[in-house]
Amino acid sequence: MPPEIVYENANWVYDKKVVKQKLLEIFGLKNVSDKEVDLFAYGKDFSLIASHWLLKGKIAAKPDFIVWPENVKQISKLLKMATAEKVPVIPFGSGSGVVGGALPIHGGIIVDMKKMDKIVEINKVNLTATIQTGINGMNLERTLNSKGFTMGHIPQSVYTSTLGGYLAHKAAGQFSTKYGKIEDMILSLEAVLPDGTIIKSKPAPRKSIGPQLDKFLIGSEGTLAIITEVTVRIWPLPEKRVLISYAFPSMAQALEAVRSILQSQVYPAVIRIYDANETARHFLTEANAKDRCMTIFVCEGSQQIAEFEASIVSEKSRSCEGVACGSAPVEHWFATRFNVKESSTLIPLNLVVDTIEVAVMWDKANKLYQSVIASMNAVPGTVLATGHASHFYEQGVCFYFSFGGTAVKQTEEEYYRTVWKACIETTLQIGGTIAHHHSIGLNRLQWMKDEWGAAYDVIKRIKKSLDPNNILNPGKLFLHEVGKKEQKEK
Amino acid sequence: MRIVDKVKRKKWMIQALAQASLAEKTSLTKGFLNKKQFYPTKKVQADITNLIYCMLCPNMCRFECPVVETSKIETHSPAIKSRIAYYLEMNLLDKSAETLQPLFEGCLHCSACKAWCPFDFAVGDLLEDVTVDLFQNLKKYPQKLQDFTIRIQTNNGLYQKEQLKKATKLLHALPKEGELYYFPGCVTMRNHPEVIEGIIQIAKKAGVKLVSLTDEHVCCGAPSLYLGDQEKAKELAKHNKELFKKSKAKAILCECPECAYTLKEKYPELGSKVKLPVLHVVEWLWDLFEKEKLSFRFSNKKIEKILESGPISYHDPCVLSRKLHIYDQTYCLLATIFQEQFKEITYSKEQTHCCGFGGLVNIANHQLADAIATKRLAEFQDEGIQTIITSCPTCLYGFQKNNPELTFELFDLVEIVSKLMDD
Repeated sequence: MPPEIVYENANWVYDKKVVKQKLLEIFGLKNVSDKEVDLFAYGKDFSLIASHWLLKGKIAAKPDFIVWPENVKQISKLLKMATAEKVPVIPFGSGSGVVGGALPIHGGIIVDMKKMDKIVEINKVNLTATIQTGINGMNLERTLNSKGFTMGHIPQSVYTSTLGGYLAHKAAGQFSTKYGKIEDMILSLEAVLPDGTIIKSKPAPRKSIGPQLDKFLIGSEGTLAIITEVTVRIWPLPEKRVLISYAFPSMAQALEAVRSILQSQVYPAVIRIYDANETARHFLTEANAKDRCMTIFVCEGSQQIAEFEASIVSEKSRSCEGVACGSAPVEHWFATRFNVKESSTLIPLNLVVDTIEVAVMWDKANKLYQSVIASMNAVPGTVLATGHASHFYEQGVCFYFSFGGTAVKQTEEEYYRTVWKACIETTLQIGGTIAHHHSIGLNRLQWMKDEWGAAYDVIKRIKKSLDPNNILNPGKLFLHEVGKKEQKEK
Repeated sequence: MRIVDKVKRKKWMIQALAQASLAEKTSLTKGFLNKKQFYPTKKVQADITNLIYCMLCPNMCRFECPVVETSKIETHSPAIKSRIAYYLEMNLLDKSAETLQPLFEGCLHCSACKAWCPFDFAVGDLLEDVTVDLFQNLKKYPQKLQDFTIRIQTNNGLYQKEQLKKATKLLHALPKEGELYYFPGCVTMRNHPEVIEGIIQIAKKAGVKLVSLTDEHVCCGAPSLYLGDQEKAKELAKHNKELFKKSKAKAILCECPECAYTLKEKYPELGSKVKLPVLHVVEWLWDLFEKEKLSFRFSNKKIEKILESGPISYHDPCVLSRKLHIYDQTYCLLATIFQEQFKEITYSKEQTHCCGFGGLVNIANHQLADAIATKRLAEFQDEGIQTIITSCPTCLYGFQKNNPELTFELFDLVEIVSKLMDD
């Protein structure tokens, strides 16, 4: 019995024989597949509801073809052809997203970017690296490390994700408070537009030449262009790393301490505030942290800067009733930060779990944390709702909420969607933003208009202008209406 | 970990569960009891629990998988291989040559994934059990693997006897009873008789009495295990165990890491536990060196040519370094021999990268095996190495095959040691 497909391609009709022939002409036999086993492999990402489906014999979606471009010209030809033939094209790194962004929900052609994974240049004078976007994050970082540099972009997914994925969904890494988020790291890029036009911006420290088109493409989730190469900032590996931690009586006090640190212009590479529940889970053996909010800091850079920043972190933490817990909790975090076991062990027990990240300004931060936790707990079936804050700015914070529960009177998917709704709508009510770094994908699509307001029509018009046939990752960011009419008419 | 500590670590979860409503507790219990729906109804060899853990993991080991890092095909990524395997076990995918192909061409059984696995398993080990279930439908296998199965079943090894003449002749010179049973690997016998010659010379100079029952020699069974042909592997193991007994040897010497690993770790599972110590040749050489039975002549002219070629490095075979954890002795020996001219490369010891010829990848898709070998060789080139030494006949074969312009000087450690020994 073949697996059931959750997102069936219902409306999109095109001549697969013609398209296959054209793909073979562009990419050659070795770089095109329509084997069933490959189509099965590419119909996935790591959204946790998809794991439930998977265990029940359902796959999230199924493409019609997979292609592996080896150069930008092939991508240009592909997009020209896809625009002419009206075929969906879905850029793909390694399918590690968690909100459905790379799922081929209308079938079509998956463009696996992994063969474009070269480090083109490392410029030691400018401290930049020019890199193709199909590269795996860990292999990029350890190559840079071996030459004495870091990009400073270390998301929890670094082992399993690609640079292209970071650009597509506007990623943030664990060390982002010092090194910035992905958009801060990009100096220039090369991309292919839906009509096949190849655009390439020039690296410069800053530009005042009108709106910055390359930055507009970052976070567009593969709907506006396929980004093929970028020049990024890199940094010398830190000379010194100081690990410190403090446990605070409440989330409010921990937030206050971190706000004062950031607003003093001190930028530890890593800051993470765990609420009392997560502290009990991760730092059980730390006696000083009992019933408190553990907060860990990594200050790094030159020895003088790292030590100086650490001294200010300590001073500000103590002034907010933080109790020093030393380096052990941070070492524990370093040792376990990539240890992702829960999705594997809890889902087969029919537990529904997920994480949702949102962002908010400081003056609403504690209220948002308290309200979202309460809203998720209020959903019948929720056994645990917890949170931590993991990315910080002078003006605000990103919260990362986790929930675990069971479908009491609903299906698992209905329960899952209800908790998501509770979290996102509470965030919107308080004035937060609905996604910090995991992007919109499918999970957040229904709230795009609430988030953007009137400006949503503006980006839809831009989409329509760049991609009139809606071939690039259809069904993402722009709801289904863009291009749907044309497809139905066909 | 003590039970008390385990319970303490789960305190957060226990507290949450205690606070859950009755409806929630009932639903959780129902969910827990329903987990059996995710298991096949009939008994299978595959470890379904770990397959589920692996396929639901976000592929956290993928960056180190040499296959997907070379092929760039998602189907070869570790969690997807487990997903395909699970769906085959659950009869949710057709058992066809096309569906089975990624399980064979996509895994080198190199255990690179294991180092990064929070559950501490290797995808290759999971797939070995899966193939035992799949082997019941051998006709659904890709044709190349069906042919390979028949080849092993017919030859009791990888090659026909006629293809092993040179090695057989060398081995015939050894007595049939003695101290150390020399168990040559199929690939060594076919492709590297000079290594056999080297081992015989070293033994002679060190005064070790090697023994071989060449005419009755059969494969260790590792390729049969990768195919899922457990019956053939059992038959070969039983036969070999009898030979060891017959020889009255006190220990077994293998120059092939795969043979050493299979004899040590797999024979007990196949019902033919070997009680004699099984030594890989590196362990044997180190033992001789420590007992001062190996002495090197550093002014040896034979080595001068090697030294002229620049820095010399070593490729750790996956099975030797990651499964048998043998590398420290190798590096000590090489540092002693080549001193400052020896350079350890970045991906070495347990962090080594596979040569591409592990598992059945070379049988299922030889172009992919070649591409992985080329990639590994490029790592040496990037670090300025032109002379590579290794301790595995398959790695040596893979590298030789992919060194058409003779960019690299390639040696087995045995060749180096035998060249350097005092006459």
